[in-house]
Amino acid sequence: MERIRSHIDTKGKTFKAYVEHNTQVLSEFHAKQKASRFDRPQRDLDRLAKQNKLFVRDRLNLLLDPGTPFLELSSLAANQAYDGEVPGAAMVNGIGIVSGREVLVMASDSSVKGGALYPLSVTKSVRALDIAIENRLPVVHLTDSAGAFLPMQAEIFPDKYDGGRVFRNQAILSKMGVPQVAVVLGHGTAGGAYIPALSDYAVIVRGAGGIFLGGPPLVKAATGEDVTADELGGCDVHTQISGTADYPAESEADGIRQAREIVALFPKPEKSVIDWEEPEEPFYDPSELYGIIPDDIKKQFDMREVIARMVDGSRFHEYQPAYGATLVCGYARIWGYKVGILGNNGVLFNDSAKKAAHFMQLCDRDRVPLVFLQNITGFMIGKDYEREGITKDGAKMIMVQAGVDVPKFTVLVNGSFGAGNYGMAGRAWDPRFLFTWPNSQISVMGAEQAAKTLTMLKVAQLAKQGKQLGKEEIAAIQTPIFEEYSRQSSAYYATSELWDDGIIDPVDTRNALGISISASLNAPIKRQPGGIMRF
Amino acid sequence: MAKITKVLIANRGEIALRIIRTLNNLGIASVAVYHALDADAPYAEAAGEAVELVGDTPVGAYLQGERILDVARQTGADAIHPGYGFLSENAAFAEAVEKAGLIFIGPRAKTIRLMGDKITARTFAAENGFPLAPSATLEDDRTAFLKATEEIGFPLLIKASAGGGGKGMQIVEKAGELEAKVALAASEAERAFGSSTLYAEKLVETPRHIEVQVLGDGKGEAIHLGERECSIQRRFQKIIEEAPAPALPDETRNAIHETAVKIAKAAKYRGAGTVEFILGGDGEFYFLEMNTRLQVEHPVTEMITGVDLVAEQVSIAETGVLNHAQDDITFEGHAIEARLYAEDADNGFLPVTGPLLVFEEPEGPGVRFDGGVREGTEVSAAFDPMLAKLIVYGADREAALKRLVSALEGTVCLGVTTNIDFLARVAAHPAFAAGGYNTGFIAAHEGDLKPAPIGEDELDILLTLAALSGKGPIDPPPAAPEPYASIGEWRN
Amino acid sequence: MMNRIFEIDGERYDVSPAVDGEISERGDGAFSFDADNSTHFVWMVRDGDRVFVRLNGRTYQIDEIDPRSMVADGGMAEDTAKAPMPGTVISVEAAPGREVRNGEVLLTIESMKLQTQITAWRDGVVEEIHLAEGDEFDRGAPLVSLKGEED
Repeated sequence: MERIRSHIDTKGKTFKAYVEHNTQVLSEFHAKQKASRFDRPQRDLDRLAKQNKLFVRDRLNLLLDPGTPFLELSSLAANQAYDGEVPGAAMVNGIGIVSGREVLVMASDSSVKGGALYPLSVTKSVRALDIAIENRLPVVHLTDSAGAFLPMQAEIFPDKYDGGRVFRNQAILSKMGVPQVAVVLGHGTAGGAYIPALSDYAVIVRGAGGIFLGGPPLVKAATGEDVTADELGGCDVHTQISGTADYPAESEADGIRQAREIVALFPKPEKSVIDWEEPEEPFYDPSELYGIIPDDIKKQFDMREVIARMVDGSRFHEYQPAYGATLVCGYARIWGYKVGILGNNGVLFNDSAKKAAHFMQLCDRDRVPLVFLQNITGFMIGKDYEREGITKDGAKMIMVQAGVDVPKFTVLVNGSFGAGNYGMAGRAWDPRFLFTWPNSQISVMGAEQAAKTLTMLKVAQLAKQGKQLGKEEIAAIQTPIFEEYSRQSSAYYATSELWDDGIIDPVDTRNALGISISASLNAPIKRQPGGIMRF
Repeated sequence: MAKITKVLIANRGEIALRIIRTLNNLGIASVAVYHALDADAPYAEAAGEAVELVGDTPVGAYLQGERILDVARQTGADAIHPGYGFLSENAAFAEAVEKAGLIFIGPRAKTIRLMGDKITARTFAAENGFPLAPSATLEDDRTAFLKATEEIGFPLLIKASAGGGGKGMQIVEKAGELEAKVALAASEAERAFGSSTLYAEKLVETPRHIEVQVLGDGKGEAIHLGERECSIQRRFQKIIEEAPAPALPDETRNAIHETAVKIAKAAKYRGAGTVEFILGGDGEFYFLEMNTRLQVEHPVTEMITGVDLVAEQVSIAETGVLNHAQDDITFEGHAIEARLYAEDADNGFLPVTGPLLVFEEPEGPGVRFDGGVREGTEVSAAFDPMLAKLIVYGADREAALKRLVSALEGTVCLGVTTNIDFLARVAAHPAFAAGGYNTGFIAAHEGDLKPAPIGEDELDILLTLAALSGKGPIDPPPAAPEPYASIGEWRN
Repeated sequence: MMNRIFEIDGERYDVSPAVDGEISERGDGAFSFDADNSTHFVWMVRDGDRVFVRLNGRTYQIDEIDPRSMVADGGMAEDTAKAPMPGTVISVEAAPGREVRNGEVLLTIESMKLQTQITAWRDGVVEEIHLAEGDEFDRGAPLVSLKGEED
């Protein structure tokens, strides 16, 4: 494959301006992430220490193989909810290597509200287990949760994708033959008790771990029985008498060590084989991405330049380079894996939609995973385009995209507005992993456009009633709408609501995708036979 | 005299193998005897025939003169070579062999008796006017002994008359300690050798131990094959020897040679023997004792003279005639021997046991390795812990020293602790290179001879090697798959 | 992630289980060892948990220590052996204050016509034998305690 020839002037004014802007954006992101990961009220850290409990990230360090990467998912979940008091939704999930095995780790963060489960915690857990199911990833649970946050039970308990879905997913994983091991490091009450019970292997730490459907206070209230947590459902009860847990551990370190041994004995994965070659570092420095991403969502850039700083050797074989110019697609390699990349260079027209559909068929037939780099404001609108069948062509693109069997991976590089998000494999289209950049925005339409449109409607409505509004009054209507839209379309809001699997630093995209692709290959790629339709 | 066609070697280990080697060169058949522990030993395999000995103890097996004589008769051996140690200085055995009509490859029983008893040997030397360190003998009259020893002067050395190997020896620094130490030495000697006869001699402070190899025809003719320096000792045992002795004035050297020959002639010595002297810092030398057998360190003499001493022993036993006149013996170059012991040199030289898991012998020009063990040998507490002798030869002492250092580096012994590293540190020590050292060398340089602390780089390598050497109790995780392994330690 | 522990010359060292470097055997105890940008020629052999190495003309002995024998987690180690099932004490072999080795028999119990030896689960000192010969006991009854391990 040939190397992309870059046309970026890294010494130019634009580049430097963008770098300055993005450095600011990135440092804000890193600061937020660091705070979310580490800033805790002292009393919570003291409580952990008194309970002889390790901080969740220390537990992860004991669990994961040294010298290996860890792809953390949704680190900023719930960052805009619950007054910011539940960073990460009180859990740390990610994909890493344990005893040489690729696993998904789900770890309670008991330094946050004792690891309590808030609505978004449930969302994050369900999402993690969905990832495990879709990609057939073994799961290691490090459970240490105070249980559901009862005041919000209506959003935690009853619905299809609420708490029950966590256990349903665990059961389905088991049925699928995907192993799970749980290390009970704290009390697992009610729902929490099911996590180890539904895992194939359960390790429980003496003195700290507890498994009971009702905790001591509830038992006392219900039956009058006086019993300590340990007597009720501690290590010895469950490893010696009830058989609910399998391995007693003397300490957290011991328990995690045992979990590592258990993972080492999981059946070896049979990974799907796709085209792979020895990896090559990108030729262009990925940090140049900071000078390519504009400082304004309305400004355009060439997606090829982004691709060049993400793929092996910066090599890209462009498909239909002269047709459908607003969609760039072609083959490249990421960490050795051959992938089909689709990226936006403007709105989607008839030809770009059809080109995308054709290319996706090619990749699907040839077992080439798809990577979508979104920077899309939508499909083209207007009379001419409707006549040409823009809706129909958009439907072709969506139909093919939805129907491919190869794994899909999406990165929201910049804007992700309207149906463009759909065509380009947004959340609803089940990409195996979806990441966003901190500068990205997502909404049905741009905030400015939305604010203008809604304001216009309001003004027209009031005009019908005979009211005329002055500039300031119009601004007074428009600004709040704009601000609200902006807030809800920011990457931070999106990730807070778990509309993605995490904001990542642009330069980390290659690693994140490499790991994601590798993880996805634990599931088989079934292929429906069929020829390629040139639309 | 009868021709020797088959020799039984009443010994084991490296010396037995070395003797067999010469016998093979001479076209003489060999018979080995072995205790079960030595069944797989190289010497037992190298011999033409091998017969098992059973004894109360492994060492005891090799001391059964009667049984060994039986084996000799049964196998039709016409001579017995006793090696060193074991029965080599057992006059009764020598007599029995000759009485049985076999040839004892060694001196007459009479000579063995004479020189075997330290006191008779000293008396013999005194009577013949050979230089002796002032001494006194204790037999019955302890009071007289105590008085006589005072005349010797302090410090002095109390030795067991019937003993050797450092047992029953006590150093007395001053008069006040004398009585107590005499009592101690007497009881030790009684226990170890069955006789409490002691003698005391002046302790020449840190003397050099110089010995001379002699050959005698048994009829009063004798020649010398030069001296050996044997002053590198620990626990009164030699561990490095060299020939010729370095830093020795020719006058002294010649005087020592002459004295040794005179002693051998006076004793009408038959066969190969060694006359041992101690040389004081003042240049005075005194007769210490005569060993009526082949010595462990004989190879260094062989290297600089080109004479095969075992062949000489066989020849003299056969013909009763010396093959060489003194003028025939020429000395060329320099040889050094280092003894490999299974012991912990960093821990009081305590003997150790264990399997020889890896054993690599050094090779190369001027390198001779007399080993009695091979890879797989289980070094047990049953026998002397000497594993092998490394002998090097060079055109001069400097060349020999260089060879010694590199040969020691090329000697690999893993599985049981050995003194190889210690020997290397001695060989590399400037005081050794300078020559003129004495028996206090190891004590005097104790600090220098301790192993250097392990360097950081070395430590890293060692720990990595240990980790790679095999799985531990908790086996290491398998390697991470790609791309994880290449991505390495990364967090988003 | 438990580190491996090696002891050289009485000093103990922690080693990460993931090591950097490769060895290739050149025959009979000889190896070439590649690390960073240098290659070393070494002799090495492992016997059980003891490794002998000859590196740069010096001989070393390295012992691998079982990290589990070093677990000192604030006295969480079980110090009392409890009866696995109801039975009778047949004989008592140890006494308080006695130093015992890992595996040494402390007492013998009988249950359902089967005799079981209760053995020391680590090196230690007997703190107390809770029952005497002839005593009957229930499942879970304390039988013998070892003195708690010091850090």
